[in-house]
Amino acid sequence: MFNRSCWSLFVVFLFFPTGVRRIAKGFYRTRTLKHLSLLNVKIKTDAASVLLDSMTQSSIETLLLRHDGLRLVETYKYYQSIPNIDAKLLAQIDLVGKRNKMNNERRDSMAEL
Amino acid sequence: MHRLLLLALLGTTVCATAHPVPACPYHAKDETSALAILTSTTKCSFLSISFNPTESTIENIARALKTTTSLTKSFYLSPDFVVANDHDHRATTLIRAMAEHPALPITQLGLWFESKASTTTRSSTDALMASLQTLLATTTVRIKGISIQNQAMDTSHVRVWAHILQQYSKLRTLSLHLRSIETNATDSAAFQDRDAAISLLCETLGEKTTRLKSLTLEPDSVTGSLGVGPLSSQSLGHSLTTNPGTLVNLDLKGVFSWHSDDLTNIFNGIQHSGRGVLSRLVLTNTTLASNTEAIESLHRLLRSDNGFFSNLILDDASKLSYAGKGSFCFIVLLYCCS
Repeated sequence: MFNRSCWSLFVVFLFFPTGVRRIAKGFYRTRTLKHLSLLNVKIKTDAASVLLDSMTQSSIETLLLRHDGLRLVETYKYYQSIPNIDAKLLAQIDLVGKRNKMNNERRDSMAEL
Repeated sequence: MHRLLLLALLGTTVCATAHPVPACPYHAKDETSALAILTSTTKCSFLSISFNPTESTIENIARALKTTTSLTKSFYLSPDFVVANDHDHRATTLIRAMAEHPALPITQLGLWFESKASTTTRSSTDALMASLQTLLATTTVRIKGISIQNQAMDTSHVRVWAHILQQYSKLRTLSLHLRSIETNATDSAAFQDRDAAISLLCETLGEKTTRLKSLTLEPDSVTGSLGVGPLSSQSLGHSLTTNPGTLVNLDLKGVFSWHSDDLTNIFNGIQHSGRGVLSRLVLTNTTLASNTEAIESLHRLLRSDNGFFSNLILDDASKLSYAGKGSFCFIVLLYCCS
């Protein structure tokens, strides 16, 4: 198959999954996980959008994201600086969370009936 | 009209004096109000000593604690209560008084008092642990929850807690602050000793007699390390699998020194816990990283949708990141046939 008289060049692309993507794909379409907190994890807008995508398909009610933002400096007190994630995306995460919470409550009440 | 007003005022005064017991839950700011709650015939579910009592005040509160029937649930020593030095036995006097009660009604004990760092040493915590051991060895005691803040436990105290958990099966919640271990010194004797001690504590969670529902361990500073290593992760993973029906909340902060294999033990332990009930897992300051077995085991755990695991807190995971649509690499194969 290979020509013995020449150099053959094969370029193989290997796509490695990244941490945040694996977490997002983990809870994609699950019903159990309700709260996920990733404060001070190196997440920017593009990663947050991947998490939001999974969130819309799952039951997650709260997703806490801030990078270089909230840090616990002493018990019950937080120091807040400029978050590294697009504010519109955070608002959307909040909205999806509320919708999921409503759906979860409706499902729980149906189960009780 | 004036007579009516006077009567109304008098009525209010009479009502006020007829109910001298402060409203409950109560944060007592002085001896009188604390004693009023403890000696009252009206039941109260929460009392906090929110002042710094003198020696004589402590004697009076201790006397009231020995016989109280009114305080039905929680007793707290707030951070306003400041232990001055190693010879200050006020907090332990109260704990020993509780041990003398013939049928102590208190079920939650919050020891949130401050200790002056410059004048208190390890022997102060030793004395506290000794008094708690005495209290929990008393057969009539039915304390279900203990929370100790502002009083950092050493490695030897972690071992004592493991022993207490083996002996005293009524405890449902335990929250402790541990003295930080240097993060980078995983080869040091201190680190290995701490790992072994926490491992012992985790082993007790696997015993069927233990009914602990919530365990919180955190270092004494927000950037400090608990000093957990391979031994503790193996024990915890094993306990989660062997005794899955009890632990609901596991809160471990400052777990810098748990690496991929250790985190895999924990995530696999939860996933393989069958009819487990663990619903909240807090692992802060982890070294959870992309392209490791740990992230894969977490992925599998989340996908398993086991019906009970609902809260995951991975704050300050230093190596967890996202690199666009998957990081890629080129492997260039140069095939030379000549």
